[in-house]
Amino acid sequence: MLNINYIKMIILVCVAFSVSAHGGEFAISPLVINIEGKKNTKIPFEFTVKAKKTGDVTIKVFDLNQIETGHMGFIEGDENSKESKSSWVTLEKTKFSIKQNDFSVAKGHVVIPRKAKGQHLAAVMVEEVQSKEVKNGIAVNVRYAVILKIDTTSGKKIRSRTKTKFENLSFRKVEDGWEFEGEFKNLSKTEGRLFTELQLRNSNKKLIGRVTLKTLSAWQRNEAESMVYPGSKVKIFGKLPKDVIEGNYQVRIKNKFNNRNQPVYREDVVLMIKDESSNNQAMLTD
Amino acid sequence: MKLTKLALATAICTFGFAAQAAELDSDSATVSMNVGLYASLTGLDDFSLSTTDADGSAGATYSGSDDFNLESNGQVHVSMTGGDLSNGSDSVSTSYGLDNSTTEFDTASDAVHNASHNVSASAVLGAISAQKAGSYSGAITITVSSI
Repeated sequence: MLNINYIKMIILVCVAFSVSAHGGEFAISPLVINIEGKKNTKIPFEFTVKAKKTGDVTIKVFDLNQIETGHMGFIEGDENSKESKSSWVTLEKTKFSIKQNDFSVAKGHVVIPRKAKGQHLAAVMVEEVQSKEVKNGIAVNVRYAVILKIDTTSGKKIRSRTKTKFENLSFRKVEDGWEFEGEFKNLSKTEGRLFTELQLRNSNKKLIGRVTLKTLSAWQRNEAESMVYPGSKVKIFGKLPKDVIEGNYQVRIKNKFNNRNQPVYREDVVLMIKDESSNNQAMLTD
Repeated sequence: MKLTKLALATAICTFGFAAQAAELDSDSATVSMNVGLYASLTGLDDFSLSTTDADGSAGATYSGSDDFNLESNGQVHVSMTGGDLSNGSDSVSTSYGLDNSTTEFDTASDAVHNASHNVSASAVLGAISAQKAGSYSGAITITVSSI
């Protein structure tokens, strides 16, 4: 009898360990929160964390930076840094437990500094707490970024100055055409949607072909425009689906940012198929 | 006199109700609802790597994967980061992929999503003496975001 109870206890302990080996699973809503309000006042926000399995979560403030592909990178906030938004965002709780099928409301507030201008992004990262250490194999952490879109204009439609720059045009021969790439910088204080058209013209300025240039993110999302955040530099590219003969051409880049035409970029180039070991580069002819 | 008062009160009530009814008839209201972007990633757990090559041989490839379900009511971006597997000071070059492709993907724009996906890892040994025998581990972080 004693032995049976002992075995039962061992089984119970084993089951308990196997259950705790699974991480909590969560669902988050909403994933985007628009923050608008007066400067130097507390602007509250909240979001819901629902547990599909019992577990603990931590929430932290992260900064965002747009990488060249157009995707967003997340960096843990640094309160000592003036650039970090972690000094703008305060969280009521940074760690809590949720039982299976239950939910918890995470609350916080944003204080927009008096001198802040334009639009800003911050993220509240919701991450499950790992209760185990993996000694052989891959430990998986899942986290959700709740994006805070902070508008410092407190709802007023301020026509901000748009300043952008296109540079570093390059091209290469690909199958059945030519691929063009360049860099676009948003030097404005506001985010914007970029629509770029590349026109290829021959020496008589006759239009040979046109192609849309977009970020990798926009191509992947199948969106017509690329989102470019304040201060970001993105790479935009596109394939001219046409076999153009080698020779002298002019490339014109027409950028429309937030529906505003930007200065047209012109560059004379020589399209020439080089051997595979060297990259094709835009060659100035004058 | 009483009859006059009663008639007056009845008339006021009648006109009042008529006016209210007319007001109700002509009133309109706009009902709006804003549904927030919602996402949930489930079914993903830690996993181990195994090889079909000779265990520990130079260039042996160890691979493993796990499936998960992603459900959302709008477009979301899923990205993954991870480092090399390590055992103390020794490490093994490790690569990762989502759906056997790059380390990120977007669900379709302006559409709900409820589908199974896969995360995989592959580690390749160097020379036999390039890494000591033992248990190697690493961690990956999968991030779900709206942008």
